[in-house]
Amino acid sequence: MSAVFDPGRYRRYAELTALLQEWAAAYPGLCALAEIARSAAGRSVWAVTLTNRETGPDTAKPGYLVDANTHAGEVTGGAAALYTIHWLLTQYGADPVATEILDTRAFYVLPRIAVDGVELFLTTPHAVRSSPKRYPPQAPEAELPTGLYPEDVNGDGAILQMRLPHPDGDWQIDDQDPRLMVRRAPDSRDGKFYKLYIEGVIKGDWNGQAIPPVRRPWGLDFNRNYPAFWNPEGKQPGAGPYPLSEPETRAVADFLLAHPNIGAYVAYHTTGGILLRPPSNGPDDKLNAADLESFRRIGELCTRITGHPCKSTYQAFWYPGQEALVKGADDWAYEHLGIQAFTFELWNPDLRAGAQGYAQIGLKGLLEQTSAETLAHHRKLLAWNDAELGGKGFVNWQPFDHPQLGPVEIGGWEMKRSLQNPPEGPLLVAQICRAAQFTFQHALSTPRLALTLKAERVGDGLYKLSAGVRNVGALATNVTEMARAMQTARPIEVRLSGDVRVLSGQARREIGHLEGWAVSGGTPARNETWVDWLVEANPGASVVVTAGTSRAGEARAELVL
Amino acid sequence: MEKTAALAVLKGYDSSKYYRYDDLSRFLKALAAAYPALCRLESIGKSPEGRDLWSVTLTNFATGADDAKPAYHINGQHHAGEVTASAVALYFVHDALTNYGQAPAVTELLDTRAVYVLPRMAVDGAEWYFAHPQMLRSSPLRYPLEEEPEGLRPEDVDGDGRILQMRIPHPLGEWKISAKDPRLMVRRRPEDREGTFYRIYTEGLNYPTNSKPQHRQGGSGRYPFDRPEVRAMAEFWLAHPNIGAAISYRTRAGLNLRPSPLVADDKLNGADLQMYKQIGETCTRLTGYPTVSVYDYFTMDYAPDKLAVGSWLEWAYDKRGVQAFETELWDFRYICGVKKRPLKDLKNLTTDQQEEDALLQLRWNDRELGGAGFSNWKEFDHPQLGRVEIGGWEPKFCGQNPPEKLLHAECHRNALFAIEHALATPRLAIGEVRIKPIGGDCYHIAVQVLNRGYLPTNVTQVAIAMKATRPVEVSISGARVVGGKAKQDLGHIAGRGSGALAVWAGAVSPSTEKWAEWVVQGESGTFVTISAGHDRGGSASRTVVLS
Repeated sequence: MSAVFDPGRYRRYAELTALLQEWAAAYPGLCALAEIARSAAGRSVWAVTLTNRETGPDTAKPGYLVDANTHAGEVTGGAAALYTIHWLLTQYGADPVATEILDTRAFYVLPRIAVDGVELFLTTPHAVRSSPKRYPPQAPEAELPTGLYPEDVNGDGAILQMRLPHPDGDWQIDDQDPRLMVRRAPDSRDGKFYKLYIEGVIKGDWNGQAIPPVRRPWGLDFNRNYPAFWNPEGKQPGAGPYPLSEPETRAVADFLLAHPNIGAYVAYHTTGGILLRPPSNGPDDKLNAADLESFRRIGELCTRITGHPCKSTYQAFWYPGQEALVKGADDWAYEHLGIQAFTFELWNPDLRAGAQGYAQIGLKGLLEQTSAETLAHHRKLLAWNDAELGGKGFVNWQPFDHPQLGPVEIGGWEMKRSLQNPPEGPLLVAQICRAAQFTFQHALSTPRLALTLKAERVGDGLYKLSAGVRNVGALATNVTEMARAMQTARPIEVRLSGDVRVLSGQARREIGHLEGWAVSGGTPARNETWVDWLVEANPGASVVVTAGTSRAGEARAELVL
Repeated sequence: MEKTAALAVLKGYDSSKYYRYDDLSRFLKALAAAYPALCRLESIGKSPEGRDLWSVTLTNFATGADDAKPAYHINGQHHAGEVTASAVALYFVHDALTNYGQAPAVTELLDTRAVYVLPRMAVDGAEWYFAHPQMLRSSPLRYPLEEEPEGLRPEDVDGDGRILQMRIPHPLGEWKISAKDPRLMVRRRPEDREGTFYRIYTEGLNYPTNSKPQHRQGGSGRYPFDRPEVRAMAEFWLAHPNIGAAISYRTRAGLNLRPSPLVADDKLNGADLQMYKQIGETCTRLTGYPTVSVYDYFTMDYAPDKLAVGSWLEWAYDKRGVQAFETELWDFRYICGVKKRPLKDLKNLTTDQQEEDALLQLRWNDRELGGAGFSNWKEFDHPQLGRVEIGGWEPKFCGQNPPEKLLHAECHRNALFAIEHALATPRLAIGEVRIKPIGGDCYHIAVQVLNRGYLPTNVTQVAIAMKATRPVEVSISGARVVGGKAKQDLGHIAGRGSGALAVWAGAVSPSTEKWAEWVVQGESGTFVTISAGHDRGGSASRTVVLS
């Protein structure tokens, strides 16, 4: 390859595409690149297939999927995906983990789903959830509804917050750190108070009266556009007009359906520093007990490697008075396809700042903090910004003469490379290395079939054939019980062929699923079974036995009688 | 009463004293006579024994009538024995009137709000409580049955003016004397076989036992509002739709109780819960009392038919949508150093923890009260039971109510919170008025209507759901209205408390204003008046000149 790859950078679309094409060309036996969708702006959504083709095609091996940037601004995930591809390709043959993964598994990476959104995020001050197209759907030339639209009005390259002095303001300046705005207490009557707004301009038909509500033109959220628990916009903001309405989400779904060998999946997001597992729609008793155990075991693996806790989406995000936040791709992958799917929220500024984030105490815990606790939390974040980010994450308040609102002050968190993502460089690299190491171990925990074949001569021209079918993976061949229930993991099929006549036993049989050693509640796992045939054959005849199932690959054994 | 005479009466007021009905009435009348521009006293009903139920209205009448202002309600003393409650209420009235014009918070309060105080609801019960050694819940009417119940009836058998406890040695007794303090009785343990054991009874006389089963909920009356005192208060509220926030005092857990008594927090409206938590924090900061949900803290049994229904708090919030708290004044155990625990946790205390807690109380009593709170056991020849010992905690002014020397502090910090809570109510104001001539003697008028309070004009979402409050109305008069309705309905207006709780990047302040517009026709120089009004947000008006 041409230059040394620097994993600690966020890359624009052209760079990403060039790297992927370069790697596919440099490692033709290990890496294949395919376009699975075109975005509204004509960019390709890429799928990368990583496996050693000499040991078999990807579809005959247990599959594992990593995707990134369902949400445009969560670019840490995209950096992790690129690092993953690069590491596997360059470490193959040198590192035993990389070698085993590519020899025995198919590792799929969708490095950037929101291709248009990421480009906007990286090249402008704007934030966008997924896709920079008008949503709720409207003709591009339609008039904007009246509202305060986020804009970089003072041209400093970031969209921050505006503060305006107001006698009925709900904020005041912290007496310890004058950069920090603190909530005005009910009994705080003397002092200078402010109202806070997003930095922006008022568009539409404004009559100069009350400041209109904040509006964002691009409300679509890919991760609310998947079929599991889908609800329309009124119940689930960002939902899209119907499930899989967007080319990008449709392509992810089609990719999963076209690869029934994928048994486990991690979707990269930010932030929080937490591995999220099902269920998202209720407490853990909603989940099948065996699936809960396997999610927990893999969660513990993640915590050991990355230090990030693993909790259910419900534990992390539910709080009283709210409907459960049911999400997207991972919920669909588990609830409908029975894939062991996680969302990995990378980057944990709260914990780095010495505070407890939602990963530690849940969103519920954060919302139940007292004002004093919330204030202490924010002071810690600012102190951390000064110490670890050199102050770059927070812009101090600057006076500005707003064309519509008059004198205001603009300042606040520059979210993109502070709270939402780490700054480029060592902090980013440290995050994504550890996360990738977890996915490598997770990929190697997928089920994999192995076969041993024995023959015993029991009479003249009569042989008893015994095939030992084993699952050498940590997870069951069905991976989840949900897959069994949803009929998405085919049972193991054992086939006998060769120049023999089968006297007893079927040449082709379904033997159900095998457990994995990691998930049996501590009792001996049923991860091995024997299949027998009585055959008639001439000495010197050769027999071939294969065993296969969608998620555990195919094993083959042969012998000469 | 003459003003000078009234002031002379008020010289006798002492915030570290409990007052009986006649004294209470005398002070209230004196306060009304001394501060006629700020205070009105009326009777809103009579008790079964013929006592007036006093209601005090506090506001600066020069800045507007009470019913044109947002109002706060203070409900003192529902329960006969909880006399601290009426002491706090009386203190509040005295404090507000004597500090008006000096303390800015009180001045703003009386200038912009009305406060209604019902200092004592259980007038008959309180009088009986002062005059007799017996404890009593609310009213000395016999309830639920007309005839005397049978069994051991509390009586002051040794004539020392108090009803304490009797202990009688008994080989099967459940109690023994603590090894750590001989005054203290502790539970006999299963392994305690040797020693002197006791049975403990309330000091009293025995009547043939035939205890009646309690029906589901003791004390509820025959139908809602059948007691004249309760009914008077309910009628008072219905006649004062300007009441948006309220507090009721009782004793003795040292807690600020918020809804719900009936359901867990996740069943409450989220916006209402946020406001309750925010105001609750202010209460905790000023009084030291934690703010807790009744359901979380007091429920012993979460079965739906075991919940305490029919309380004032339920009526105030669930039925009327008023932001109400019920403050449990005074926590004797906490003052002594005992940890606060939810009711359901108390039953899980070990015998050792109970003994430790009791020792803390005895030590505090010895140190701070010179031992006056606890009567050591004294032998007494009981006419029916023979030799007994009588002793125990002074029941009324230690556990249930603070000793008088601590009463002032209790009154003061709770009055501080009531002032702040009252000032959190919504308040309408008229901000900018923009007049633009558009030709032909016509003018376009745009008016900014502000809510300058912390709470929204509806105060709670429940108030909207229960239709207990109406939308903000704004009207114009003085010139012919040619565009727009003369009277317009603006819906509700958020207060400054409705915003985000933390300054995350998306924090946006709530819009605490709405605008109304008209086109009017009139000659230059015509005066037009714009008035905004709302039951809970008060009223505001402005007169402008067309030019």
